[in-house]
Amino acid sequence: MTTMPSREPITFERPSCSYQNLSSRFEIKDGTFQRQYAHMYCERLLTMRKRLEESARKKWGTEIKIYKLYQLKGQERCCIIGTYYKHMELKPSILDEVSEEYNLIPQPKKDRYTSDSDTLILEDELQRITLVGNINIQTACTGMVVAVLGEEKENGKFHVEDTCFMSLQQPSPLPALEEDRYIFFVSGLGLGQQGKNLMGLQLLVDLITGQLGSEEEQKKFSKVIRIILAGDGLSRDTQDTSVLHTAKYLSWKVQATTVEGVKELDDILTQLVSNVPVDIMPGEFDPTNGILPQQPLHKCMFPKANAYPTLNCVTNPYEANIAGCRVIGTSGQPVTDIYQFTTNEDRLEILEETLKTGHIAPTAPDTLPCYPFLKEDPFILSEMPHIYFAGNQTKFQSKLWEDESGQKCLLLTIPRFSQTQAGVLLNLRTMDATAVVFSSEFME
Amino acid sequence: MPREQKQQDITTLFNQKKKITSKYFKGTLNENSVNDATDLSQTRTLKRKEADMTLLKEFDLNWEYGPCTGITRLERWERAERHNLNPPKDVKQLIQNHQEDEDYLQSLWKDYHL
Repeated sequence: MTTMPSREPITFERPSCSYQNLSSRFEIKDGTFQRQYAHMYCERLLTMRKRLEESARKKWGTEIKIYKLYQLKGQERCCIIGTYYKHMELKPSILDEVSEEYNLIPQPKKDRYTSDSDTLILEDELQRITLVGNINIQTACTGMVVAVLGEEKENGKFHVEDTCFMSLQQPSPLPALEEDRYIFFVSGLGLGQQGKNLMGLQLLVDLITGQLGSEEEQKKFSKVIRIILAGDGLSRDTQDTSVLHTAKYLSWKVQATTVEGVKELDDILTQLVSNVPVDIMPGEFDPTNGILPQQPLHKCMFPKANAYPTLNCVTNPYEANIAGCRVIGTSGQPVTDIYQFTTNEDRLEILEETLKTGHIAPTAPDTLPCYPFLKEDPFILSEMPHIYFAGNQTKFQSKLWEDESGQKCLLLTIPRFSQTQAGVLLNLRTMDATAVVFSSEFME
Repeated sequence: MPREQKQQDITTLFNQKKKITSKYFKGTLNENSVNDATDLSQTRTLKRKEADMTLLKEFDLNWEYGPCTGITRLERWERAERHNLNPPKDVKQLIQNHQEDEDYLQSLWKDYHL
C-alpha cells in the first residue's frame, strides 16, 4: 500500500477453473413426510455395515467373528456392528414437555446437555446392548455407526476392547497446479441486523474485486477462483417473530426484517458475482427450509445478482469438484449440534470425528432435524474429500488430517464473520489456509 | 313382594344369525350361497388371495428386510435387493401382478396411519 501508483493501469485477469456441482443427492424431489425415521436408520446401518465388516477384518484379522446382537454368546471375544445411542438424562425430550401430570415448565435451553450419568448403547436391527470399557462415552454421539471388538460379560453389558470406523474410499489424486489458485470461504455475514456496521464486509468485497490493496495484493486476490458463502447470510435478528404478536394496527406498516436483510445481501452479492463465481449456501437463519438438507435459496430473492450467471445457489450440505479438488461442507449445524451433546471443546475435533466415522451429520435425525430419507442416507461420506469445511463456528482452525492409508484431507472451520470479521483464504496448490481479518474500528 | 324381573339385556333382545364373513370378500358367505355354482370361482379366488396374503405377511414380518410400516411393499423389496439381502422374487411378482389392489401394494399395517 506504500508504493507509488504506476503510470499505466495494470490489469490482472482472473483465471477460470473447472467446476462440477455434486450435490444432487441433497436436493429433495418429493416432499413426503409420511414416513418414520426408522427407515433412515435402517438404510444407514445396512449401507455402512458392509464397509464396516471389511474395515473390521482388516484391522483385527480375517478370523474375527462378526456377530449380530442376537447371536452373541457370553464370554466370547467377537465383533459387533451397530448404531450408537447415547442415553442422556438432560437431553430435552418432547414427552417431558407435553406431559401434563408433571406440570413441568419446559427445560431451559442450555449450552450443553451432557452429564456424568450418560450411557452408551449399541443398537442393531433387533436388539441393543450397553457398552462399557475402553470407550469414551463423552465424545461419542447418537447415530454413529461403528464396529466394536470385545465380549459380553455376565452383567449383560458388552466390554469394549477396541472400536473401528468405516474406512473411506480413495479419492482421485489431487491435480498438481502450477500457479496459486485460491478459494475464499466466509460464513455468518449476519445481514439484516439493525444498526450494523458494514465496513468490514465492504472491505472484503473491495479486496476480492481488486479495488483495494497494492499490486501484489491485487495480483494475489485476482487468483481467487471461487467464493463459498457457507451459510447465515442473514442474522438471527431477522427471525424475530414479535411482530406476529403485536396488534395489527401497530404493525401494518412494518416490513419483515428478512426483506431488508435479503436486499442488503443482494447488493453485496451483485458486487461479488460481477467478478468471481459465488456459491451461496443456506444457513440456520436463512429463508429456506429449516431441516437438513437445506434447499438452495431461491434465485428470485436476488434480482440484481441473478443477472449474472456466476451466482450459484446451492444446498446445505454442499459438495462440489472445484479445479479437481473434491470439496464438501456444511453451514455448521451438524458440528454445533454434536457440540451440545458431547464434551468435546474443540470444534475441529468434532469435525474430525465426523470424518473418521464417515458420516457428515450423525445426530440427524435424533437431535438435528432432517428429512425422512428412504432410498439412501445422503450424509454418508463415500469417498474421502480433499477439503471438508464447517461454517459458522467460533474461530478459524485448520488441520491436514491423514488416515492409516496415507490419504490426506484438509479440515476447516470457518468463523462467523459478524463476530470475528474474518474469512478464510485457501490456496489449492499448497493446501494452506489462512484467515483474513477485516476488522475496523471507529472513533466514537 | 319383589316382582320377578326377567333377565333382559342387549344380547338377548335381537335374534342371532350366524354370518360367515371374510374381510377379503365383500358380502357374506352364507351356507346357502356356497352351494351356488357361480360362486365357486369366487371362493377359489378368495382362497388364492388368502394364500397370497399369507406370503406377503411373512415378507412384511421378516426382520431382515428392515421396518415395514409407512412404505410400500415394492419400496421395501427394492431396498432389500439393493443391500443384497435376497428377498423372495415371487413377492415382487405378486406385487407387480396386482398393481390395482391396495392389499398387495401396501404393508400389513396400512390402515394404521403414522
